[in-house]
Amino acid sequence: MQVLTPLFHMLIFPGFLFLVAFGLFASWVDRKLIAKFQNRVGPPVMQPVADLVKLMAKEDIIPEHANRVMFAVTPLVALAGVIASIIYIPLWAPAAVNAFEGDLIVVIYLLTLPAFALFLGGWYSANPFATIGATRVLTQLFGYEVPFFLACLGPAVAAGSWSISEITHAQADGLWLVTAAPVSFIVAMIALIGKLERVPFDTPQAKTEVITGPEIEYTGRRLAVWKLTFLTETIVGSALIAALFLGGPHFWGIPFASMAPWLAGVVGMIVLGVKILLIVFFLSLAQAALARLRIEQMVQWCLLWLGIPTLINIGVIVLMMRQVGV
Amino acid sequence: MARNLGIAAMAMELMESLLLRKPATVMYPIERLSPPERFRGRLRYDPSECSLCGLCQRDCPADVIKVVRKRVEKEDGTKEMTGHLEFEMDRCVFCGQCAYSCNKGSITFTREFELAQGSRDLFMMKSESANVDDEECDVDTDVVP
Amino acid sequence: MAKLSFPVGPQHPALKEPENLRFSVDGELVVDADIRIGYVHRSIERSCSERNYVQDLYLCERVCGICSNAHTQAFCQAVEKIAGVEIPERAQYIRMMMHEFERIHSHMLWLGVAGHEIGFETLFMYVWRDREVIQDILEMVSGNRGHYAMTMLGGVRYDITPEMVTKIREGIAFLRQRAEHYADIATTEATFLKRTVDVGPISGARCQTLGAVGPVLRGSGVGYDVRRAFPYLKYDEVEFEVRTSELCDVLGRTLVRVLEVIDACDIITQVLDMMPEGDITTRFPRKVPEGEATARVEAQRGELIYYVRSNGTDVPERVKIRTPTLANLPASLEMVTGGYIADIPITFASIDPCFSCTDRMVVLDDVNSGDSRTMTWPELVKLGRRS
Repeated sequence: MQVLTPLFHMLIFPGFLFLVAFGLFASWVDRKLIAKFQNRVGPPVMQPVADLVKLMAKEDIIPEHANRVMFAVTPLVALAGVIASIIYIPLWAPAAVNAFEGDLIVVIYLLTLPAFALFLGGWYSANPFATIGATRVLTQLFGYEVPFFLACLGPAVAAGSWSISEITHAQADGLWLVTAAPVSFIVAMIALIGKLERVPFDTPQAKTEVITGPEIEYTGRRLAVWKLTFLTETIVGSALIAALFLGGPHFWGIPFASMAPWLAGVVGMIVLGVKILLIVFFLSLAQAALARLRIEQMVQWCLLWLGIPTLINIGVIVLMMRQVGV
Repeated sequence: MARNLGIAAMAMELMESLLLRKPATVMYPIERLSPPERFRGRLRYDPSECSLCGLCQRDCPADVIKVVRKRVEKEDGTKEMTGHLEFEMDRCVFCGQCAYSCNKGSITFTREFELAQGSRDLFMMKSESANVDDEECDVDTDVVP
Repeated sequence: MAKLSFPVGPQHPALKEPENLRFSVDGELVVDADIRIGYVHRSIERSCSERNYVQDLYLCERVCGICSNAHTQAFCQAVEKIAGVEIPERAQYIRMMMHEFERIHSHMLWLGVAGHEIGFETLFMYVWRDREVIQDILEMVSGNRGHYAMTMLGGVRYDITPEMVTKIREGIAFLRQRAEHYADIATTEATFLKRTVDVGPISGARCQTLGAVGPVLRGSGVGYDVRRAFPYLKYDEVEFEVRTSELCDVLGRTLVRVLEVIDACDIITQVLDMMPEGDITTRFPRKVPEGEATARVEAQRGELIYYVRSNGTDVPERVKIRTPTLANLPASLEMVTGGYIADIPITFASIDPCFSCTDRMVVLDDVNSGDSRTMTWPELVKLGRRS
């Protein structure tokens, strides 16, 4: 049993299978929303699944001049990094599957893995477009990663803990930390767009410029793994923001403590699911309303308008904590 | 500030589209639009009035039409023209010049637009034969109609 | 980072037609650009002298799918000039209307594509949705959404009925209002501005040196419009403004095009008010007398020039077409050089390129020898692969 439980957590719930299923659903919601925004009909609910199955069945090609090992391994590392990080994010009421003081840092680190893997995968694909895309991935990383980290720092300082479960627990009474760190919340959402490489920060994958950039040489199963990475990263990133700022599975007026554990779990999951879909709604809205930025515009804008305000927000939180005397 | 007003206006329009508008998409096989009166769809040839003058063949930019003519002598001594038209419809560009050139109104374009076929051979069409008295085959071919 | 050379095209998602561009880049900056055309050469000019004038009309219409009416208009104008045929007034107004309809649909198409190039998919979807209105009008008037076959030698094919006039007026009013809306979006949407302001800069003087035409030239502040400079049809009777922009960048070209949509709507309204009753065609001889003529029209992409030489038969001896894209290509190469890689698609799109109209084949032989020779098919294939 001691071996089986972690395996179950990794592969079935809340790991791989659950993440993929929810990710596919969220991706359908996303596509449908964008279609509605754009006055179109949009795909049926099973479309993302069908796309995935189609990719799985396609021929798998490794370019002649590519580094075979790096080319093959990077997508798996990226996916593994994302799936591992869900273990530390509380999905239902009391706490995450695993929690320790400092897991916030681990999750942020694990969520950076896909970007590095994408860079390496692109770099070793031996294609000029992939090379340009790969350098853009890294350049963009500097743009969003610093603000994202600073934004996550806000709730941590306010809750006085480096554990995501602890931070979520601090919001159990219904007072969400978004009230303490509103700027950090907005910044985290915008940085998440950069992390997921969506419009307006989809420069590394811009299809009219670099033709999906680092992913250009990937086909079949490996491309499917990349797609899964971004699907699951959408869920994990949204869940992280929900946990840090929006109280995670908690909601004002729902007494989790007095419920049966299984019921608390289910209700918590539903609450969190709705919050994740709300964040996805925001992502879709941004995608529909904006044009793609250039890479240097992106970095400049992010550091100026995301980095500095979050620093100020953290300063304000620290001052407030002093005043309250915590 | 004006710059962000544009984003706000766009977001408003997006929400309007999400909440109030019906999709602009026409779900084609289920929902069908009717093409306008002047639409040039399937070509229709009616040999009853045709004088086999060959103007359509001469004007067709894609060499779709071939007029096959044969002059036969009837038992009473009068001459008669008989023949038919052959169409290579896969080459047709639906410009409608044949219908425009035709003095008799023998060629018309219907509003039928689903013309796909599984094989190229199915586009090779041969009309029923048309018969004309000899004198009728005298048309002014020196002026663009 | 070392200098990297990378190709765009012949197959690339930013290009709608096959053409090969080569860029030398230093990091994200483009240091050199070169273009190789010829992938979609269709030898239309040669084919024109194999077919009679009626057939050529449809061949010329198919030079370009977007500006098909401008091509037939220019061709008819040249041939009618040689034949000395004056077309009826009503036909002239109807031709003018088709010309402006086409300008609206083409510019809206372009705006959508521009949105797509900078990753603004919603703009693309919205503009193309609204463009359906003008497409429906074109289909109602001419029977087709593209390749209208409306302009004929000696007039136009179909008349405008009173019911159509009401529908056209309604559609035009809607389009005018939408065009104003898009002009607002183009000048206020922050991300759109970020991708268009100071992108692909070129001065008006430089444009003139390189021979740019149409919205590219007007977007750099030079007010040259064939409709005003050399009026054809009835353009001297309608009021419109030659739209220019001093911005000299992609935004300037965008604004010129959007404002021209508004102008086109106004011109159509005026035409509907002015249109007299009467015939729409006049008799036109099949055999065109000997002679030569050039015609120029302001197609949506810029000045389009046709040269036709007739030898007295019903087949032209020579048809020469100068499409606006060919004139704009040198300017476009200068626009991308010194810019960012990310701006290549939108900068090239900003000249509204139509490559299959542009492709020409030139073989340089010793002119003085006086020898003539026939090229065989394998020779042509070899030539196509080399150049």
